[in-house]
Amino acid sequence: MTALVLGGAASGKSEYAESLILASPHKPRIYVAAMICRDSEDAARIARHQALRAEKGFLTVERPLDLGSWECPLGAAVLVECMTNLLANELYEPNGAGIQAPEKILTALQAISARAGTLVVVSGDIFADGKNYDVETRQYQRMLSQINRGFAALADTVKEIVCGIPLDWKPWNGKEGNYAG
Amino acid sequence: MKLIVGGYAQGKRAYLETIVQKIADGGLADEKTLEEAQGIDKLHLLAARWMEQGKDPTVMALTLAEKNPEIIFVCDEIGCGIVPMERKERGWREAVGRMCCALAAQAQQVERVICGIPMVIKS
Repeated sequence: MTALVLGGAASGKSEYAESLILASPHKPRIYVAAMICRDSEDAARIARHQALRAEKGFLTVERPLDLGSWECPLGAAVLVECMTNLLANELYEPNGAGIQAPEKILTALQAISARAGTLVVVSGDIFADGKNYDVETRQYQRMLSQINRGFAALADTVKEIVCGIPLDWKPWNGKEGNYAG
Repeated sequence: MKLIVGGYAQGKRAYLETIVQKIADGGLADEKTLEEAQGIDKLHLLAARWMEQGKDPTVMALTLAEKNPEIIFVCDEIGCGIVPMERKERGWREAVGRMCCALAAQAQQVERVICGIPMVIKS
């Protein structure tokens, strides 16, 4: 099962994504972290997420760049978080993929979904504040949308999280039993 | 307690007015008005005022709901944009999101309004 979990800031998307992994019959549970810790605010955010995951039996893999270099164990339950960070890293880090980032990330996600039993990808909704940003930010928004749309097309289910509540944009009809409720 | 969310200018206030009469403006109302209201509009602005006073918006909103279990909160969705440059603005956005998650978890009903149309997303 592959799922795309979308939401705005502090919408409860991480917690919901984790619940999908916990409901899945697949093991091991692997958390692929894309965030680079740059300051105390990042550290606090990471600590908050680690606390949420504590005792849920996740192995953590750090992949701020080059997601495709990670070989997913066959049949694992994988949570990749978050596309907003992964894209920013690939686009702006000196050794990132630059404008090839969306294609490279989508190829990597496809490869992981071919090996994982369950793949849940968390991404952000950053498209609705009505502001007109500079060229670079607009490019970033378009690229994130390209990733979101690309992965949504191949995902079994797409959920938008609003105040912790999942809205089903692409309902899943899993033959092996629906655990993406 | 009920929660109504939605983007800016989506008709949330007009919808609230069809349900209750005594409405407090979260951006302006004093404590007494808030406690006596049937509906509190602009909860995201009230959250900012609470934060200015060093208070946690989640705790404050849940306390109001405890005192008035029939209260209806109306809050703008403010988390669906580019991460703000200002740390304070990021903190506010985060706090409003967490507050809405906490309220939604306890609410009997959550509705989301788009183009003036309310959609029940939890009941």
